Amino acid sequence: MSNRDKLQSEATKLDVGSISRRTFMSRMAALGVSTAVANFIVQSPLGASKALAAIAGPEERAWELAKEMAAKAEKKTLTLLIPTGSIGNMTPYVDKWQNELGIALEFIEEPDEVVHTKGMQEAVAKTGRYDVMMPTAMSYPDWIDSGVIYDLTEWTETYNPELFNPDFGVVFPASHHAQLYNGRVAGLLNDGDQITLIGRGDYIEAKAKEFEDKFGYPLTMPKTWKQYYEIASFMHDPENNFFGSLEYRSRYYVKWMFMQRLMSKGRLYFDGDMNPTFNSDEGLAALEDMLAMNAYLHPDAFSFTWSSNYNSFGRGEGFMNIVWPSGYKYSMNPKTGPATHGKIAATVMPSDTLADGTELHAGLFCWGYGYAVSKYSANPELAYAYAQWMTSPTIGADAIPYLGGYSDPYRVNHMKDPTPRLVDTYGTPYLETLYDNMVNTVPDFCLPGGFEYQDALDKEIHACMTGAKSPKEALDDAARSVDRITRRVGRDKVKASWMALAKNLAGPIKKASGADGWV
Amino acid sequence: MTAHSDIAPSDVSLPAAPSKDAVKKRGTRRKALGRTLLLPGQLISLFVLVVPLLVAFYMSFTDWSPTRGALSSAQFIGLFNYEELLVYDTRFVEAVLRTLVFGVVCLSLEFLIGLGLAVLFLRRFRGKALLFSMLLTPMMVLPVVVGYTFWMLFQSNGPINQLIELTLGAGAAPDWFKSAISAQITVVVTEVWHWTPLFFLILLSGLNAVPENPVRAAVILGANPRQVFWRVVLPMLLPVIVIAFVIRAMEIIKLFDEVFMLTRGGPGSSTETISLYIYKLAFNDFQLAYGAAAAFLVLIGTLGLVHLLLTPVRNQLLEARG
Amino acid sequence: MSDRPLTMPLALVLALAVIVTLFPVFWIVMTAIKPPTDWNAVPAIWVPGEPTLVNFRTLFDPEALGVYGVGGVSEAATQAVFGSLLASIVATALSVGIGLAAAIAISRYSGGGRATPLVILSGRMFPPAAIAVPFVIIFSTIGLIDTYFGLIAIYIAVTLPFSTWMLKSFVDEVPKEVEEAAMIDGMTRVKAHLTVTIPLIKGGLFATTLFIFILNWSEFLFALVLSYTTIETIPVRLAKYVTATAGTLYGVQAALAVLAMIPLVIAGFLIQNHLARGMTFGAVKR
Repeated sequence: MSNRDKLQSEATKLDVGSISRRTFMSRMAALGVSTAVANFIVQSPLGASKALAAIAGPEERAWELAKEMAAKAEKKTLTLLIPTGSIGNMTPYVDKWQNELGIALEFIEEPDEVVHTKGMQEAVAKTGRYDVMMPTAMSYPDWIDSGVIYDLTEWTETYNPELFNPDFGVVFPASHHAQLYNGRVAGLLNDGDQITLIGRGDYIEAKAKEFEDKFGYPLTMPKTWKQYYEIASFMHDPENNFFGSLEYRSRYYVKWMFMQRLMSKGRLYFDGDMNPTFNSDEGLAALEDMLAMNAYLHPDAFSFTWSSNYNSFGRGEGFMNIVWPSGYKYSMNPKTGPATHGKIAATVMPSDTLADGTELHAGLFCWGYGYAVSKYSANPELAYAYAQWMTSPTIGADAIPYLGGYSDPYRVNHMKDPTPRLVDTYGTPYLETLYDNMVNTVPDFCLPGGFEYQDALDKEIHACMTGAKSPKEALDDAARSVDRITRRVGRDKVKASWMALAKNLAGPIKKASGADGWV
Repeated sequence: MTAHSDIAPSDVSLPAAPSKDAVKKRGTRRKALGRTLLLPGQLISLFVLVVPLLVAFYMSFTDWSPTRGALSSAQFIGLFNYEELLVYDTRFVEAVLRTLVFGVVCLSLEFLIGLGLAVLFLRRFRGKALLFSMLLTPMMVLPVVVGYTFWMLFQSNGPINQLIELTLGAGAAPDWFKSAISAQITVVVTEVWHWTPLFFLILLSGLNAVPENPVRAAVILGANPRQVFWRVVLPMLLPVIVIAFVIRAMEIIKLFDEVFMLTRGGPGSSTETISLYIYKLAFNDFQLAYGAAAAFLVLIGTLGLVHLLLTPVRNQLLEARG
Repeated sequence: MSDRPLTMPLALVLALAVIVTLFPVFWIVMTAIKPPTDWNAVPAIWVPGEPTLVNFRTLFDPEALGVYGVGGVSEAATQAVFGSLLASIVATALSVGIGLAAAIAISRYSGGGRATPLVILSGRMFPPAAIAVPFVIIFSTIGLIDTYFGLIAIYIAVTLPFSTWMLKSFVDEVPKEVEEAAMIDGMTRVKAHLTVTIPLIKGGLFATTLFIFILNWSEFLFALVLSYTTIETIPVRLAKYVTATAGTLYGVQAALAVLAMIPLVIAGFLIQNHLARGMTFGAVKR
């Protein structure tokens, strides 16, 4: 009787009630099943045997492949190019790979804005130094086009990582926009990077009455951008070093604050013919909103990086903050959020009212790391096995809660059927919020030349925020730069990938932007 | 030094009394030795001078970037890159102009401060040698370290703002890297701090070399110190001033390290020099062919500019040739 | 021309100049010995109450900061220090050697005619960013990217104008008659240069060597664009610490900056009297 059969029979016993959960857990452990998997199986509403078969599949298939490839491999090291600050999610598995597979994991860390460049350098230099590379989704088009990473589609067909499973696959539309390039799998997502709005629950309680008297509606976390502005102005108390909100106005980050607001107003970046659409009434309104908000921001907003932003908020220097899920983690941890832990309220990004009166909920999926396999790797299939294993529904759920990394929930089961450790880290309400926000996300410029596009936009938005350019000038200049990039990269090529991307977005956003008509 | 031992066997000069033939022969040998000694240097100069120019020139007519596959598959696109750069890419032209403006502003300040300090050092005071060494220190600091240090000094909670608030009151201190003009000021301050010592050093050695006699004569003729300085000393100092400017101009055209550490060309592109822009094009965006076109224009431009600058001092540089 | 004493206002101006000159150096040294709590304190701390060497230790042992509960430094700077030493020393030796041969050729044999010195000088005019583009293209096709060999080759090339011109100015100062006398004694030209010319410019050779070392040790851009994963130099590592969005490691960066500065300041003061000559390609002698 194989190991798998034994597991299956234990699961059946649990289903029919002939053994207790506790006995089941200890037998699972004896059979070498990780606690995370066992926990998931026990808690699954599917029933233990079905859950076992389905959810453990990606991990098991990846492990089988890893064993086979590790035995064959001549080079016994797997080298990973990863962004600085993410290693904490990977180090817990180093010993297992060393002891059970004989494979040493080596990590090369680079600042996160440099990872894309490093990949392009590898495309030029072809050193074979990396096996696995961990870029954001925006890197995939350029990396695939320069031949530095593998198209993973065939491997995913053979070893099925369950990317699109409705119960434990990657949440749609991130499953598409954060992993595919022109419909082909370029990388496996390991980080559900989206921005959400967090705020101070304690202040909401304390100030509820005063607020309602003044504005005529109850004080909660803002539901619309208008409320966001009003609440920030209400809470703003610079004399006590407490500011309305901490969103970013700094170079490199500020574009996201604009992109998010543009999405909320039902505009995408381009129309169906690759003409920029941010230099529109909606774009101008988004910039005006941001300029108005400048009065109620933390004074360091113009120099924030994510870490200084998290720290300021954690020290209790503001009421609201627009953060990646890791920002929630930081504020809830007593060490990094001395003034905020236990006091955080969170919500999906505010909605905006469209011309026809509907409220549109849109999110922004920005950054979003994933594993890609280097073309110049000596052991590409082993590298792929690592990627699938780490991002499987089970190991993924186990890896996310570790400190010292910034991987955030990305699969349905991470948010809908969380393990106890995930619940400890994020709390059930916030996991729900993440799920609700993610289903409405639009990604970065995940297109050929994506970094150039975003850099051009960022520069102009920043110039507008500092007062160097008027909103109209800034957006017109950005549109001109963006057109030039399109022209240089090749209109047809970008358009094809834009169409593939726009096809897989949430229905309301496609409708509001008109994208449902192009495809 | 290896160069010497390599060519030693080929050179045997004759100590015997020179016949007409032998003189001629020795002349040829002399030349041969000169050529041999120069060869490695010439080859290397070709390597940095001609090869990059040719490659940049060739690449600039193609559309190659790594995202378009192998280098051999590069497509010829004629003057597209040049048209982009000169007609549409305002950022390129702006970076060129900005670099020139930085050059003029920094060099003027460095010259004035350096000259002032050099004149001070003509006075008599104790501890001159020590103060001289101290004033030269900035030149010995790595450009990246200079950039990084000033980045720290100009932080919104850094010591410069602390001093400003102390003297001008709370709230007077700007967020230096936030607005274009204040960020440009940080670049100028950094450059001036870093390289004023060079002007000081060159001008001081020039001043020390000014002969005594004309000065004395002018004083005897009743000129006041100011007149002596402007009418007698400064004209004699002119060649040295020109050299200082030429040398610094050659360096500031390349301005990169300090700004890279200080502002990364930001905010927006308000402190982006031409080197930073080429770096961004070629090594961030990997638009290598497009970057090569920009590089080629800049190479040709600097070549022209520097030779123009060198005209007044060319003979001075060459004077001592044997 | 003037030997008047320093008046009080002028003395104050001079004092101010010295303070302004030394303050940034003071600041970076102080930052290097600040414990993490003082790095970015508000208001800024000028002199740390409890100076520490932990930042320097962190350069070679990334875990050292752990005692302060600070993480985020995962790579030691050891490789960068090694890389800087290797590239600077080898490139300096070769640049000075080749430069010396060229200097003698130009000074004594009018080698290469009138244009050569200026052609060599041109190598110094080009912005490294512009030369780097074609070089990266070439190096990527012949596999020299990310190798010390490639980096050293470029360093030799871009410092050669300085070594040639500086050494030429020293050779020019040696009277030809001295060499000619040696040749009359039966020495070959080469031997005469080796035994007469070179010993006579020993001081100049030393100064030139240190000067070229300073240039190589400070170089940033080529190292930045040619080092991918296998090679690294101190300036590149310094820039990496700065860009770490995971938090700016002020103290550690400052420690590396101080470490990088020390050899240069020593070298700089040793050749203080020759700096003008080096910077001006020998046009200003002293």
